Parts: sequence; C-alpha cells; structure tokens
Amino acid sequence: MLLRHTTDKIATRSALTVNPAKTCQPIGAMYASLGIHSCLPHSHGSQGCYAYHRSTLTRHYKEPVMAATSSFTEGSSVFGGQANLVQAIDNIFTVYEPDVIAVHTTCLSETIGDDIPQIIAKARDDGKIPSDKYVIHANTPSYVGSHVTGFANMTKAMVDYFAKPYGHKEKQINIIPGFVEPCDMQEIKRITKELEVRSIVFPDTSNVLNGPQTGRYEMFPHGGVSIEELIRSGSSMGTLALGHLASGLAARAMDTKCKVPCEILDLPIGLEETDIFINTLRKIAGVNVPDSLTTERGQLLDIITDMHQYFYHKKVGLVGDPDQLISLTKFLVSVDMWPIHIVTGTPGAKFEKRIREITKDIPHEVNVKAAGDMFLFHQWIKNAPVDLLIGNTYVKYIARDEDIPMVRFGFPILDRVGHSYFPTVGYRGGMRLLERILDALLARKDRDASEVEFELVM
Amino acid sequence: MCHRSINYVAEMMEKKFGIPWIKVNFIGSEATAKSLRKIAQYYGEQELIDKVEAVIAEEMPDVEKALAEVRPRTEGKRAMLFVGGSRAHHYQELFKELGMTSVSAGYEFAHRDDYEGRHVLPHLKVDADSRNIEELEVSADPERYRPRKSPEAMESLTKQGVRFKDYEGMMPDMCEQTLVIDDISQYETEQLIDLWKPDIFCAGIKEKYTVQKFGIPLKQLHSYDYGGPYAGFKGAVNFYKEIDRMVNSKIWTYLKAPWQKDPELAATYAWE
Repeated sequence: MLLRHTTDKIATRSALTVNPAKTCQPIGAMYASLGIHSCLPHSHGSQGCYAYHRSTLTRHYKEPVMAATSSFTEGSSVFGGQANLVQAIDNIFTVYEPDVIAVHTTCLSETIGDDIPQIIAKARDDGKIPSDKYVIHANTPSYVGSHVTGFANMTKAMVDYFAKPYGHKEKQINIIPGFVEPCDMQEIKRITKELEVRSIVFPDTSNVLNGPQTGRYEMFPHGGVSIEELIRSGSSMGTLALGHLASGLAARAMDTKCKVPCEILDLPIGLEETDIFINTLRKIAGVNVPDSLTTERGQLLDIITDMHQYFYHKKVGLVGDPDQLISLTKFLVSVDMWPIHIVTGTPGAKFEKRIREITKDIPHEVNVKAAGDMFLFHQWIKNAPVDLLIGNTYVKYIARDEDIPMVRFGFPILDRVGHSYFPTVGYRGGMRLLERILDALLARKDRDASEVEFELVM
Repeated sequence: MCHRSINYVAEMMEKKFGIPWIKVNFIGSEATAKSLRKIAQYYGEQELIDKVEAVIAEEMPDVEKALAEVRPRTEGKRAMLFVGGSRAHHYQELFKELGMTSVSAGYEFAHRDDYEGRHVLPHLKVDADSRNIEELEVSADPERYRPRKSPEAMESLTKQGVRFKDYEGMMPDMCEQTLVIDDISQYETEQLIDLWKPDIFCAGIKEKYTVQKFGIPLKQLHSYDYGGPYAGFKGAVNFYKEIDRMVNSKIWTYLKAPWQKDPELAATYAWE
C-alpha cells in the first residue's frame, strides 16, 4: 500500500499539489518542435530542465529525443542567458546543422526576463544564423498552464514564424492534430488521404518518434512537417484544428496573420468525434467519404453493439489532458459507461463546464476538476469506487492500492509500449481503445470468478 | 431440463410409481407466484400455504419496484422469441410483465401439443416421423408403485382447479394477429424482421450477430449472453434490467454515418 496515507476525508487545499496530473510547458514545446523536419529543440535554461524533459519524452517514446540547452549557470541566472544562447546557436548550426532551432524558455529564463526575439536578432546580426536556416521561439514558463500549453505555444510559433499569405488560396487544408501520439498524426493523415483532401499537417511527429530500427542512426529522421509546407500553410483554404487547448491557439493565429479561416474541433477519439472530424473535412473540402472509411466506422460500431453488455453502466475514473479527456468522456458516455471521476492537472474553467455538460445524464455524482491532482482523484475513488481506471503510468499506484483494472492512455506512458504505434484517434483508434477496455474488464472477471462461476465465455 | 422430456418422464413416474404431476413454470414473477401456490395447494398443508404466501409477499415488492422503474421505458415494445425447450413460451411472461408484446414465437422443433396444448394428444396421427424414437412402455412397479393421493383426493383437487398432467401450450397465451412459426428459417427471419421491426429478438448464438446486423439487439436465451439467472423473483428483476439495457440503449441510434443521413455536397471548398 504505497499510497496508504491517502485518506477518504477530503480537505480543502488551495496551495498544495500532491501527485500532479500534468507536467511542464517545455515538454510539450519540445515534443511539438520535434514535429518539424530537421529541427533541433533548444531549452533556454539550466541543464536540469532539459535533461528532465528529454528523459520524460525518451521514456515515453523509447526513441532518441535530441535537444540542446543554454546550460545556465549561476552567472547566467544573474546576468541573463543571452551569451549562452548566441553561443549555442553558433555551435548547433556549426556542429549539428539542423534547418531550424526551436527555442523554448524555462521558468528560470522567464523569471530573469530574457527577451528571446532580441537574442535571436542579435545572433542573426552577429552572423551566427546561416541565411537558409531558422530560429523560432515560444515562451513556456511552467508556472503557467501545463505541457499542453507548451505544445500549443510552440505550435503557434510555427504559424508566427513561418506561415505566409501569398494573396491566393491553394486547394489544401491545414490540419493541426493536437498533442497526440505520432501514430495518431499518421492516422489523421491517412484518413485525410482516403478522403482525397490535400493537407498540411503540423506539427507532425510521425516517423520521428515512432521510427524503425534500421541499424543506422539519423539525428533528423524522415518525418516532420517541412519548412516549405509551413510557409505554404498561410495560403491554405482553411485550418482544421483538433483539440481546443492544444491546437486552438495556432489556428486562431493563422486566421489573424494570414486570413486563413479555422474550425476548431474536439480530438477525433471515439465514434461521434471521428464522425464530426470526417464530416467536417467532407463538407469543407467538398469530397465524398469512401466506403473504406464507412466500413471502418461500421466495424467500430460492431464492437460497441456486440460487447455493449460489458460497457453498460461501468464506472470509470479518468486522469489525463483536457483535449483527450473531453473526447474520451464523450466516447465512454456514448457506449453507456459512467465516467464519474475526471481530473486534469491543466488549469482551465471551460474544461469542467464541458465535462459537466457531457456527463449530465449520468445518474451518479460526477467529480471533475481542472488543476486538480491525483491525490484528490484517489480520494474520490475511496469515496465512490470505480470499475476501471484510464490514465497515464502514474495512475498505476492507485490501481494497485485499490485493486482496480487499468488502461494506460495519455501522457506519459513510461512502462509500456504500443502507444506510439497504434493510434487511439479515428475509428480504428476507437476499436483499439475499446479492445483494451474490454481486455482490462474481462481479465478482471476471469481473475475474480469463483470456480463455480468460471466459464469459457464470461 | 428439456420441456419435452419432462412430460414423458413425469408421465412414466406416475405410471410406474404413482406420483401425479402438474405443470409449473418459474419464468416470470407472476408465473413463479402462481406455480408456488399450485404446489402448496397440491400438498394442502396450511403451514406450507402460509409459507408460500409469506415468500411471495417478501419477494414481490422488489419486483414491483424494478418494474415501476423499467416498464415506462419498455411499454409497447415488440419482442420475438425463437428458442426451444418451452422458453419461447415462458419468456413471454416476462415480456408481458414489461408491457411488451411477443409478436412472433416458435420452437426449434416442437410437437403440436407444445403449441396447442395436450388436449390435442389423443388426435395426433402417428407417422414415420413420430416413430423415429423407440416408444418406451412403462407399467406400475410391483413393489414401489404407491399412489401419492387417493382417487378421491385427486378428484377433490381437480375440482379446486388443480390441473394434473396438463399443459395448454404456447398459443393460448399469444395475442391475436401474432405469428407462431416452428423451425424458422433464415429467410423467414429476415421477412419477419422486415415486417414487424421488433425491438428485441430472442434466440441463440448462431442467430445473434445475424439479427444484430439489422440493428436489432438479440438476447440469447440459451446462454443468456452469460448473464442471468432469470428464473424466480430475483431472476425476473435481472431480466427487466437486461431488457431495459438492450431495448433502450442509444448505441442502436448510431447506425447511420452523418454522410449517409445527409449526403448533399457542395463539391467545392466551403471557404472558397
């Protein structure tokens, strides 16, 4: 009982977080940067930040995660990090030769007040940035928001630095896939391709963070959105942004900067949200939905109807990021499950309102909190037990103590493999999610049934 | 227990040992209460009669509570049952309690008396088909035959309404305009679904996914979809809840994709 000190008595806390359900802005920014082809993320701060962010991403993806750091010391903490960053830019372009350096800040440099555009301008003036290379930046103080905010900020930076309006519109659509797995981005591209819609997807970490084992290391893998595409995104017909929190910022920036109109949808997780994604693409691009996608839809629905009895009225506790949780909650409710405890560490009042709306017909008290933590989540469970937990690896401590089956979903997943290869978006993603939910629930039935009750099919 | 075998076995038990038999059924809360009362009436012991009434009084409130909750959602819906061993008949009791109509029913292969009642037995013509099982001849056991009730007692019970070795069959319990179909075929199943658009179909595993592909939930009445029990009072409550789940779930409303409901297209970029 590692969490034996968690009690069922819930006390009001205003200044203390125990077992946070989020992580730092720079982690999201670093992940987004890796979705640009030939980009080296750069952490403007101390080496500790950068090491932690790389470690977390590496443990989650089990792939090389390359990044650079300004390596702040006591000196730079007092006098600012300009000299370090200019030197870093020079070294990086000399030694590693990426096309882009994507600088994100840290709590330390934000507190000092380092002006990154000014430093980049100085590096350019000093001739440290080759003419065909780029340095972009996003401010990512971790005392604001979470890793999702960092992802959103860096994605917006792609628009701010690259997107150009050319005065004419090209028959293509920008898709901002949100803070999802590389395979999810791949799946979104596949669906778009099946619909015969031309698209620019950014950021795009597919083939970057789910790469093959070839016996040959490449610092900048084949995947990622190209600079040329990012520039052309400013003349697209429109932008489809998936996930309000992770993608909304960039989509609106694109509208403001290049007059490219946008539509912001929830992440296409589950039947209804995928329907909305595909139907929106169909309508905005004026295309027909091929039978192949309708068949996939039918297969997902087949699992829902065939296995409905196992989903029906099962209580679920969810920990994760707002965009994922909104779509996942909708999906679970749509198959008659009861998500009753929902927590995210990412702040935002809209989240609670949306979850309340989605769960309003559940005849059970529903607990939801943005800027909550897993300690509170655990206390909710002690007061009202659930049949299933869905969340990142950190939830396993609660699952073990309370003896509740668990499905790993979200970020980070440090102790399993598969999340970067098998999507959870789209109809196929929905099938995988349901398969894993059923596995967890039915394995528990198999385990707990008495010898008398134990049957070939349970 | 096989619905047909029990008739034969009961008949032989009576002939050989002198044990009379009555038909009882524990599917449906009303049927359960009725069967318990029948049994008590047969023994005629006040203590047992009181005990039966006490059990019914204890069990029924839960049944009524469950029904009050579920019935408003199931009232008026249609069921079809094609499953052997008397289930196609007796599960209609549960549907009736839910306010649902059994619009069609049948057994895999039944005899006329299963549908029409045992009063047709003397008029059945023996043909090659009914002769394919060896007829067992049973006579009173010289040592163990002992009539459990005297002829007078039997007559008195009969006068009180206890009907020995009787079964009225499925048909009298079904409404006008409903269909009884023996050994239904795939073609007939499709026609029936098209004609009646049932809200639930009851059969077995081989039919389950065929019927469900029409967008109609199928409840297995062999394996119970690994649920149940559905017999007795508590079983009735289980069944009400299960049928409520099946006929009222929103999952059956997802059958059409948005582009199938609204296929109109502009064929241009909306933002053009």
